[in-house]
Amino acid sequence: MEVGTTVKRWLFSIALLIALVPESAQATRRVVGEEYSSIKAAIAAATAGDTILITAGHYSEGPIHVKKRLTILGQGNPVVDGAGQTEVFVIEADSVVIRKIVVQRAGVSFMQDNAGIRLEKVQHCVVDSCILLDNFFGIYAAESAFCIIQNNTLIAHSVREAVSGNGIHLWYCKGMLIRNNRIRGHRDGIYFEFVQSSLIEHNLSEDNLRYGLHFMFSDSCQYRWNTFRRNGAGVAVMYTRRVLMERNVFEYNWGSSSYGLLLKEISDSHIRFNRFIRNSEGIHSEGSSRIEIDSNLFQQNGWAMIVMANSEDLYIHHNSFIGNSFDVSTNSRHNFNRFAYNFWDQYKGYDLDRDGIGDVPYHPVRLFSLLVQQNPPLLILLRSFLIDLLEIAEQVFPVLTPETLVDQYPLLHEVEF
Amino acid sequence: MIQFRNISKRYGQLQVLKDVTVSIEAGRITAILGPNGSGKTTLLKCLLGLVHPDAGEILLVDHRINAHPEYRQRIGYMPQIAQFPEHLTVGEIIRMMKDIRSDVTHYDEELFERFHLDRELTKKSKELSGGTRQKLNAYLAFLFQPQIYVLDEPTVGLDPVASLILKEKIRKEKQQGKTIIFTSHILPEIAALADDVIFLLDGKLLFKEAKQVLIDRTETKNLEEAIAEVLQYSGVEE
Amino acid sequence: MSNTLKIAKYQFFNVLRTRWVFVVFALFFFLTAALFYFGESEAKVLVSLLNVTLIFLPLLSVLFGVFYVYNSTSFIELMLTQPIYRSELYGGMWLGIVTPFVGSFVLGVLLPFLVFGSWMGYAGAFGTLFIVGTALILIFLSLGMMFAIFAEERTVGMSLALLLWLVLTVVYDAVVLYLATVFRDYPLEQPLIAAMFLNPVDLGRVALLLQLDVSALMGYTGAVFREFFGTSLGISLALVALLLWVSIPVFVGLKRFAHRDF
Repeated sequence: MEVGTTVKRWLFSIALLIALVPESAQATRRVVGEEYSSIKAAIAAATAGDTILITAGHYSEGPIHVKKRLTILGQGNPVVDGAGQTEVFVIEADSVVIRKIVVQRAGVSFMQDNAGIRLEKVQHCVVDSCILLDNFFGIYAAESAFCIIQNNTLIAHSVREAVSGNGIHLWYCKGMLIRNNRIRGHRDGIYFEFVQSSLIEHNLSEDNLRYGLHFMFSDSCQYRWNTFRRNGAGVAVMYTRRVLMERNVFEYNWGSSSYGLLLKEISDSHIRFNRFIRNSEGIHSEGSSRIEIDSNLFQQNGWAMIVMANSEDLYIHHNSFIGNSFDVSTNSRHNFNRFAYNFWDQYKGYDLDRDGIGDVPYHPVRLFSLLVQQNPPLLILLRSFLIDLLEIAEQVFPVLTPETLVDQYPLLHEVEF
Repeated sequence: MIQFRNISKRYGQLQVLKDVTVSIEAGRITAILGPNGSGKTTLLKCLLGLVHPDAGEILLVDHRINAHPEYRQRIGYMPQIAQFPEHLTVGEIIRMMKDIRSDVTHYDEELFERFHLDRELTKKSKELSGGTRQKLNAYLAFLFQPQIYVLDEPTVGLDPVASLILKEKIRKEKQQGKTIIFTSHILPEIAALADDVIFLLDGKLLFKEAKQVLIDRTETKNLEEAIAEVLQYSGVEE
Repeated sequence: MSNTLKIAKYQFFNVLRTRWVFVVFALFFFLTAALFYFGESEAKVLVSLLNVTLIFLPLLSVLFGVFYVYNSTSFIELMLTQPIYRSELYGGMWLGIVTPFVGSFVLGVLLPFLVFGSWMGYAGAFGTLFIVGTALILIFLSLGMMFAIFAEERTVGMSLALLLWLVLTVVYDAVVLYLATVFRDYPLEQPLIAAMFLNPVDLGRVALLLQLDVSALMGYTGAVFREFFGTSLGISLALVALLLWVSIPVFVGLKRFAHRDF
C-alpha cells in the first residue's frame, strides 16, 4: 500500500514535531479582553511561543496577521468578525495553533480569496475546533505543508456559485491532515488542487453548492470514512494518480450531472468499501485507467456506474448492486474493463453447482440505458412492459449493448463487509 | 288492463314487431302463441321494459308505461330460462329478491312449499338442476303477489308434477282476479288454461280472440284444430 | 339501504366466491410472501409487484369485467323486470364486482408485508402501489363491463378487451418510443408527460417510478418529470386523470346499459 505508507510517514513526523516543540521558558499567556483590548494588540506584544487567550466577546478586527509562532486559544466562544469586508486570520508563521474560535464573515471579494483562516506558506500549523460561519472561504491553505485541520465546523449559506467560496481549500500543499470537520453550504466542501500525500478522513461534507469534495492534480492522497451528502454535483476526483478512497459514504447527490463520485482522468487508484446510496449516478468514470473498484455497495442509485468507453483497465469486483434503476451504462459497444464476482440483484441466473457463483454470465448494461443516454426524455418509459420485451430481444440478439461488458462470475449473495 | 298500441320493433334488418295493437283484459288468462321468431317474447319484453319499442305505446290500467320502474311492482315475470348469480345459494337469492322488493310485506309462499324448495336452500345456484332452477324461477314470479303475471314458456323444463302444480297455481290466481299472460308452444296447455288467444305471425298480430269464440267460429272440436284451420286459411303452413 | 347497495351486497358475495378473486389474492399474497421469505428487500419486492400490478392486474380485471357481464345476462334481465332503475342495477353490479377485487389485491399485498416487511421509508411507495393497483382494477373492470354491454357477441367483447389490454400495456408505449425517436431533436418532455396522461397504465407506472427510481429521475432531464409529477399540481392532475379513466367507461357503459334492449 504505497499511498497509505507515505501518508502515515508524514503523519508520524507531524505528531513527533508537535510533541517535541518545547514550551519555552519565557512563554507568556496574554489575555485578550482583560489586559489587551484587541487581538492585534496582544499579538503585537507577544513573542514566539506565547499563548494568546481570547475571552468571550465580539472582536471586529480586520485582517489579523500572525507572523510569530503563537498559540491562539478561544475561551467561551469568542467571535472574531470580518464584517463581510476583509479576511480574518492570516497565518504566516510555522507551528501556529489556533483553537476554539468562532470566525465569521470574511468578506466576499472578486479580487482575492478572502478566508476565515488562511494558512500562507507555513508548516506544522494546527486549526482545531473552530467554528467558521458565513465566510467567503472557510479555511484556506496555500503552499503549506504538514498542517492539521480538524474538528472544525464550517457553515455558509451560499446561493450562487459565482459569489461563494470553498469550505476547506488547499492549494499546493503536502502532508496535510483534514479530519473530523463538518462543512455545509459552501461552493465546494473540500477543495484540493496540487496537493500531495494528504489524508482526508471522518469529515462530513453536505449541502454544498457544487462538489462535496473537489479534487484535482493531487497525487498520492487518500480519503476515508467521509460522508458526502446532498451536494450539488457530488464528488469530483480529477487528473490524479494514486488515490485511495475507502469507507466513504456518497449519498443523495441528485440532479442532472450529479455524481456520487466523478472520476476523470484518474489512474492507479483504489476505491473500496464505499457506499453509494441514492445518487443520480453512483460512479461516473471518464478517461480513467488502472483503477480497482471493489467491495463497494451501490444501492438505489439512478445509474450505479457509468463507465465511458475511454476508461480502461478498471477492475470492478466484489461490489453489491442493489435496487439501482440501472446497474451499468456506457456509450459504446467496446469495453476495456473487467467486471467479475459482483453481486447484482437483477441477476436472474442459477447456480447448479452451488459454489455461490451464477452459472450464466450477467450483462449489466441494459439496452434501455443506452436508449436513454441517446435520448434522455425516454426515461419516462422506464419499467414499461414494452421495454422488458425489448430487453429480452436484446439479450437473445445483442445489437446495441457491449457483449464484452459482462460479469462472468456473478455472485448469488450480497458481499458482506 | 294492458293495451299495446301500434308497437313496432326492429333489430337491424329484422322487423320483429310490426304495428301490433292488441289489448289484454283483466282477470283473464291470455295465451300468446305463434311460431318461433314471431315476436312473442319481444312483445312481453316491451311490456316489462326490457326492450324499448321503436314506435307505439303501452298502457297499463290507462297509464302509459315509461322509464319509471314503479309500474313493474304490479308484474311478476317468469322468464323462459333464469340464471341466478352462480355462487349464491337459493336462500340468498330469495333473500336478495325480498330485499329488493321491500315494498311488499306479504309473500305468497305456496310454491315454495309445493316445490319443496326448502330442501334446496343451501345449494348454490350453479349446482341446481334445470328443473329446480325453473321451480325457483316460478316461485319468485308469484312471490310478491302482483296483479299481473307474465310467464314465458312457463312449463318448459318442469317435470310433469311440477308442471301440474304450476298450472293449478295459475288457475287459482285467475280465480283471485289476477291477470295472466303466458306464451307457449304446447297447444293442449293453451287449450286447458287460456281464456283468450293472441296469435302473432312474423311480428304481426294475426288475431286475438276468446278461445271459445275461436272454436265456435271455425266450427272445430277444439283449439288445436281451430288454430290449424286459421293457419291454413291465412296461407301459413307450419 | 338503496337498491344499489342491496344489489352490490349480493353481487359482492357472489363475486367473492369466484375463482378469479381468489386468483388475484393468491397471486399477490404468495408472490409478496415468497419474495420476502427469500430475503428480498422492500425495494425489490416493490419492483416485482410493479410488473404484476401493471400487467396482470389489468388483464385479469378487463377479462373478468367482460366475462361476468356476459354470464349475468339472464340475471340482468330478471332484475330489470323488478321495479328498479337500470342505473341502480348497473351501479350495484359495478360496486359488487370492484370491491372484492380491490380487497383481494390490497390484502394480498398487505398481509405478507405486515408480517415480513417494514414501513420505514416504504410507506409512500406501498401507498402508491395500492392507489395505482386500485385505480387499474377500477378502470379495467369498468372497461370490461362496458365492452360486454356494447358487444352482444361474447367473442367480440373478449377480443376487444384483450386488444385494449395489449394496446395500453405494449402497443401504446411502442408508439411513444417510435415517435420520441423520430422527434428526438425536439423538446420532448411536455409531450411525453401528456402522453402518459392518456394511458392509465403509463400513468400508474410513472407514479411508481417516482417512488422507486427517484435517483434516476433526478438525473438527466428526468428532473423535469419529477418536478412536474412531484408537485401537488402534478399529483392532483394525475389523480384527476385516473378518476376520469374510471368514470368515463362507467358513464359510457351505464349510458348504453340504460338504453339497451335485453
